[in-house]
Amino acid sequence: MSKAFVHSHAAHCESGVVSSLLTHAGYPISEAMAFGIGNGLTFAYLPIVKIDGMPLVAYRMPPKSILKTVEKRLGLEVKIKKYSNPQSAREDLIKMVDAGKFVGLQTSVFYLPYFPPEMRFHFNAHNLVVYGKNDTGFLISDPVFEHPVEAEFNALDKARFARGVFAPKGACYTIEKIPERIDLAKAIKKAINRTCNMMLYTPFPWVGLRGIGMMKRAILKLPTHPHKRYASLYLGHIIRMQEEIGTGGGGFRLMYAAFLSECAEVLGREELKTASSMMGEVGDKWRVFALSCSKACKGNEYSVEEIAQKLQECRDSEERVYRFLKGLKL
Amino acid sequence: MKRDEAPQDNIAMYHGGRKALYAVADEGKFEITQSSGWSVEEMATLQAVDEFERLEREAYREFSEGKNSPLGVWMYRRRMSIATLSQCSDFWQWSINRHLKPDVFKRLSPKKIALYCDVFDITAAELFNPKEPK
Repeated sequence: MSKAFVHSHAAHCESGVVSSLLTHAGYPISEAMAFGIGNGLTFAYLPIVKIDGMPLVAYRMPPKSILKTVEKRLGLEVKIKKYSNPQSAREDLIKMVDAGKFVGLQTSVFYLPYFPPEMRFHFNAHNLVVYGKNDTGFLISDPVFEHPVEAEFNALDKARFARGVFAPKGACYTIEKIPERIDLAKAIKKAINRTCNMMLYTPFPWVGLRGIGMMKRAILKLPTHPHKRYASLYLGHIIRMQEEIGTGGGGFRLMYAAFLSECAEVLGREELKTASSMMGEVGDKWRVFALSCSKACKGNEYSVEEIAQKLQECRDSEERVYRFLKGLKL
Repeated sequence: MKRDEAPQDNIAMYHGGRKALYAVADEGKFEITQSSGWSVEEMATLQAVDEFERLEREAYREFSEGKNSPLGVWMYRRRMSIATLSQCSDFWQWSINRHLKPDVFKRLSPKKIALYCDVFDITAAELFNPKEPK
């Protein structure tokens, strides 16, 4: 594995790291494909779990789930390590890098020196690849950045040992082995069916299409909230979870569309191209929804009914895609 | 979204960087497209940043009037809520609420002060005397 590292720009950190590590380990795979077979797509609305006083809104599965699902579906051997102190974590990382390995890390966003200050928040499940080091720090390929970056030893230690929800505890991972034969078609079929089932038939009211309905009802109730700033902050929070945090646009829906069009080629099924463009339209609808939320945030006159209506359109068109995919009997 | 529809709003917080979006390229295939930012996203992020800055200024005003301990100023300056600070420091939320009172804060043991200093990455002198926010 002592080849030169080639940085590639991706939309999302975790799928980007998985794609980059796999590609360098000798199995070239796109980010969208890693995201798709890793069952990255979902929707969850958890009003009980609060992030700075706002309910958790997620368009993708919990951190590390893409890595673990891809590992399972492709039969890889991934070694994940955690550490009790920064010192041994740093020494171990230096050892691995000196051995020519490319290492995936889980870090906090807040302490990464190369992040623009406006975008630093306490989010502990960011992923990046360390591919080398120099005298002062590590050479980093952060998939959501256009070019490779660097971080000093101390700064990276802090980011790796940030505390709080999803505390990384220095977590790092390497791909140890790739099986000789990989049945990609089988992995794709399984992944698509699983995502459709989760979105359509979940028993939990806060997940999948039911979760979107729950968020819609919460939006309709916004005008009754006692704090008048709350509605604006709430809608802004949704936009950030959908667009800012590296989703490839439209809350990962556009990335999933890219995945479906790749699947059409792998499986040789033209219908998947149709599904891909349908999913593309879903992504566009989510962006229209974000746009209408943003108008409300700016303090313009707005009606929650109109915003809820836009959200309902997203939900309905998403349902059509999943029913179409189920109908293909992959 | 078609490739030429990908927003190119040159938003300031990217500092010239660009972000990857998925858009339809020429042959109808989705591909990664670089975007210099979307004003909608910029507005939402700046709103979240502004909210922390507003809370910080308010905490500073109350601190200078003696109604609040300097803890609140540092908490919001580091973009934390009481819940986040609690997770990062192992203090219970109700303890942090108490520490926000000036009288309680004054009596804190050096050990607890050191813990807060570690979380905020500052010295004790800085913790007790935060600079005025911009």
